[in-house]
Amino acid sequence: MSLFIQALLLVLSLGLTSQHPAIAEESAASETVHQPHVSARLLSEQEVLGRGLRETFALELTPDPEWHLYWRYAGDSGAAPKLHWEVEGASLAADTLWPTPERIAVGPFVNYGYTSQTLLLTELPIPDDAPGEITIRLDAEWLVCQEECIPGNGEFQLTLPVDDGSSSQPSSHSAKITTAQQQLPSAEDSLELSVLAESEETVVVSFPLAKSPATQPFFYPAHPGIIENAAPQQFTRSGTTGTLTLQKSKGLRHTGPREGLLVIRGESTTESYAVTVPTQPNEAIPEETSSKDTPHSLLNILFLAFLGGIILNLMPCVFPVLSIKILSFLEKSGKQSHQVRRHGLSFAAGILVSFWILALSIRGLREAGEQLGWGFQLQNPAFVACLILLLVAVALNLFGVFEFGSSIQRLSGSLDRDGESYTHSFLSGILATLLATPCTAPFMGGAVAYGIQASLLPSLAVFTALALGLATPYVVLTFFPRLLTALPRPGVWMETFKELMGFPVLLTALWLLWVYEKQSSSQQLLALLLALLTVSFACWGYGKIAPLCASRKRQRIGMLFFITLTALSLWICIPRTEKALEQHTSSSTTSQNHPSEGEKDSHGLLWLTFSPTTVETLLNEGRPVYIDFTAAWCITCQVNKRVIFGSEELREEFRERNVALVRGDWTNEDPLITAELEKFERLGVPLNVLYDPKYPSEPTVFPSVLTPQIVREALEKL
Amino acid sequence: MNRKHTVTLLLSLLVALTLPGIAFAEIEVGEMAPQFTAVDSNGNEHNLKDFRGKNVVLEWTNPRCPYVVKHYDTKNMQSLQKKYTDKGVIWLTINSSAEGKQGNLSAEEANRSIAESGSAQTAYLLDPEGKIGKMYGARTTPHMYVIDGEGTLVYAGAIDNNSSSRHTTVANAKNYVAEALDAIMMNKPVEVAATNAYGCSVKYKS
Repeated sequence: MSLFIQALLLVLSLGLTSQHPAIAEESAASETVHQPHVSARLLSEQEVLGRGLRETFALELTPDPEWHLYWRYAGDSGAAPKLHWEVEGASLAADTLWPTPERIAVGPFVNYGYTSQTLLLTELPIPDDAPGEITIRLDAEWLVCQEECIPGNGEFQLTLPVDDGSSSQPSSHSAKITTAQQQLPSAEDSLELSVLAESEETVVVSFPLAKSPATQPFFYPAHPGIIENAAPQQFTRSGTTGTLTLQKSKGLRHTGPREGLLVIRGESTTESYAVTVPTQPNEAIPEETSSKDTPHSLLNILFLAFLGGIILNLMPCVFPVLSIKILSFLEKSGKQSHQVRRHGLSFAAGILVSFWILALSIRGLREAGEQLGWGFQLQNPAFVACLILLLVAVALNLFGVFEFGSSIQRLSGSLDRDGESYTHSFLSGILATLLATPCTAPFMGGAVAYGIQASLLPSLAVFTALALGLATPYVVLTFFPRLLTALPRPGVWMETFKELMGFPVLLTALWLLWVYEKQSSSQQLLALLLALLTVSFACWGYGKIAPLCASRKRQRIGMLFFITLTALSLWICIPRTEKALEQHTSSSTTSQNHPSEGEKDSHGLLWLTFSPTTVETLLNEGRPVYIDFTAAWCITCQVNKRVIFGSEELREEFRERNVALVRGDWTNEDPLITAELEKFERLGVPLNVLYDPKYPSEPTVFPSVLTPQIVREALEKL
Repeated sequence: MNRKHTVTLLLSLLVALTLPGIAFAEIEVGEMAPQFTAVDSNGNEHNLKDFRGKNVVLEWTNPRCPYVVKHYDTKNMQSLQKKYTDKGVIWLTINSSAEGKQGNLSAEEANRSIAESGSAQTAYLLDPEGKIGKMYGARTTPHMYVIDGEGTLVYAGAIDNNSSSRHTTVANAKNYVAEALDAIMMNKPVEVAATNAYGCSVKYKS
């Protein structure tokens, strides 16, 4: 530094003359270091430093557009900038004051960092015995990334005069630095974060929230191993309280305090608070109380589950089995009622046990880290194929093509040999559950979602309620057989009715065939159809042989014939379905590469493929967004589609309001969609949502069953 | 007989309910390491099962990631590979960069890269679909995993404790992988079993 400048600075420090901006710029800022995709310089807040004071310095980092630098915790990948300070040749550890970062999605990951110019502030102590001029050195390294990353580093130096610190001499950068200081996260304790509920997987935190934020608040963990960075943070607001449901980190576990930031972005302001997630909610609060804080109380959920179970009885896949079981004891209604009752109870037990197995296996899988939702079984083509085979066999059985000595509709005949027949009642309970899985009643979604996510006991309770609902009509009838007196007397009509009931079963099979075709390919479909033919042949053959075989031993030959052919049919269709699944998964991941890609439906409407970024981009463009989460195997979804988009009037409405249509197809498993559904507390489809770009944090969530009226009203509010 | 058959059919269907799907999983240390098969740069197929009884290292790589470059230019990675494969450790280098993304290598390119860098891994596995990467929840390059002879994951995370990209920092860093391997070879518990992996993101397909 030239003598002239030094002299001038001395004059400045004495306050005898006004500052000269050009010179101030020179002294309070280091030379700018230009590195790939980032430029950096060191700034001083003060023109003259005060002895014994803490003075503020800033490393100004300016990344190129679309490139980003990292926060103190970089998130799933990346690295925070590292700063090494030296004051007069002595290195010292100084804390960096980190500005509020942004969430940056990179592939399947989330990083925390800065996409625009950022000032990393540091306060450095100026020694009491500092000479008239001291040198501040900063050795900094950073990582700048777009998707690819480039490390950079720079050495910066500032030499500034020192006085006794009695008067402030702000530099030309002081305004910039002051603004950065004001935007720093508020200190710990300025906002109280409390834990509403916590399980192994999630923690629900609540905080005061006076007005509705522009975008949803986010928690930014300051350390690795606190939360799953890429998991959605489900936000709700009721009154003046906001809650966030955070997915706890699955791999690495942070052991210290769970520090981080809570960031609430308004229209033009950003509130940012340093917070710590308390380790445990108040131990004294019993579980019932905490579950009341969640949107649905447990009792409410149990009731819904029970009701849903009852409604399942009327579904085309369950109704035939149930109605025939009822008829079977109508024939015997004159007989000992205690036997009938026992059958009712065995049947209920079968349903209960299979629901428990289902609940525990979903739970086990989720614990193993699978992203599963209700209906996930139907995302597996192998399972769908098995179900179709079973349905066709049941239909043939109803048509009377063959009769198992023990088959469901023969229960009436075996009532007298009761020992065995109770087992059959139990087994038909299992069968009913199995057949019920594709026909989930519309409003069971919420209950099942809760059942899967809740802790073990409430979860089992929900599934039990569901099972009891399914079993209730039959059990009630077995206890009060008089309710059936309205029905005609037993007779030939029952045989006709039984055969008639084969058709709803076939209908279910047809629908599943359509689902299967979507999941695999037409070749797979052909294989499955061949398998169906084989099974039908097996059933027919068995039906012919079995009655001819008087002895048990020869009956076994018939059985053997049946088993061999069934095995053959399974072999025909199953091994290839696995491959079909893989192919499908890979093709669906490819499509995620091009979020803007869409396809036109039969009405000429353009549907974009769902991804959170697509939705965000559309909302940023100011367009309302209608999202249809659907699956080929979801009947309600297909009905909704017809009802809403079959109406020319509504299609016009969508076009006029420039609503972007987005479709999340969950026919095959897609973790992205599962995560989004969970954000809305759903573990299944249908889910239809309308986002208003003016209030992107408060989307309209439609009921599962849509009417044009509901959708029109929502559109009119835009 | 009939009953048995019905039971079998129903049970097999219930089992079908539990068939797993594909998802991005984060596995925990102490759990069994997930099984996989993969083809290496020489076209040979490897199955994790085949290495039962041996200690296995999984190293996620991307030859163009500066953090991977740090460990290869300083010969740190190569000497670790040499040292431990000499002691019977199976070292699998896995490249999950998708086609068209940074660091994606064809089999020949991978072999050239091995020759040029003087790497000494057991095999260089190509995983452009990201299947193994997602199965293990590999986030960064390098992301390191150590599996013991019983198939249990005993270490997951960073290669060492210095997340700087500067080459000079390698020499004095505490190498977690070496520590984990030394510990299990002496039948001792691994002291630091999980750390936060640093580096570039794995350039997955989706």
